[in-house]
Amino acid sequence: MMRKRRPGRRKVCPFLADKNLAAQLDYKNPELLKRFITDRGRIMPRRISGVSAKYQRVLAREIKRARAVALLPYAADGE
Amino acid sequence: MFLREYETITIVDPESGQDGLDKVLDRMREALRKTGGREVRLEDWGRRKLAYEMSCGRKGHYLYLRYLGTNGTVRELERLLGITEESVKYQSILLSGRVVEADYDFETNAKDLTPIAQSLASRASEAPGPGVATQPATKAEEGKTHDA
Repeated sequence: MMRKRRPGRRKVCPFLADKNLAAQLDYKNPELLKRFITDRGRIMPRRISGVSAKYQRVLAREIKRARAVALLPYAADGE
Repeated sequence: MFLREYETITIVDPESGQDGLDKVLDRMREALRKTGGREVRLEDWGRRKLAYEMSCGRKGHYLYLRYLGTNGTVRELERLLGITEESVKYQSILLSGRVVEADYDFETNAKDLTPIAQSLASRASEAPGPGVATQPATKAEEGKTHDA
């Protein structure tokens, strides 16, 4: 019998909730961006991080820029 | 005259030392001078651990330059950085278009620290020792090594 998965609580986008955080979203701020990449260095999907579509686009752009100047990895070593 | 606001990050080979750093800085300033650009802010983030290995190894010396210029300024800057051996990588980003030089607030923007510069400055103020070079439009001093 198929068990219906209970829908989890919908997360709030951290950037919509806090304007200051949204203003800090910058490729030169790897500490903030690190929260939104996996341990392998991949960008976390929206369904996991809860980020809105608009900010996911901004986040992805900034993460890619940070990767270009070696502030963030493209892929984590080894694991 | 309408200019645009840009920022360029350069990674300098740390093995090249202060001479290499000065050479890269001189080239960057030469590009601005030749094309009528204006320097707004220069930050020396010092040696940082790179997120991945590059030709200079696992550490690089970061320089951040914010300036006003035209597309010609960026082209010349990147051309010079490309031919400078000590410069390992560079990236230019457009911040805003159509800036009127006369109306541009140089003073406020020169004090606008990047997040990395802010954390370096707060670390420097906590621990006694040489300060971090984040001066607006001045020559960079040798930064201390720190791991990101």
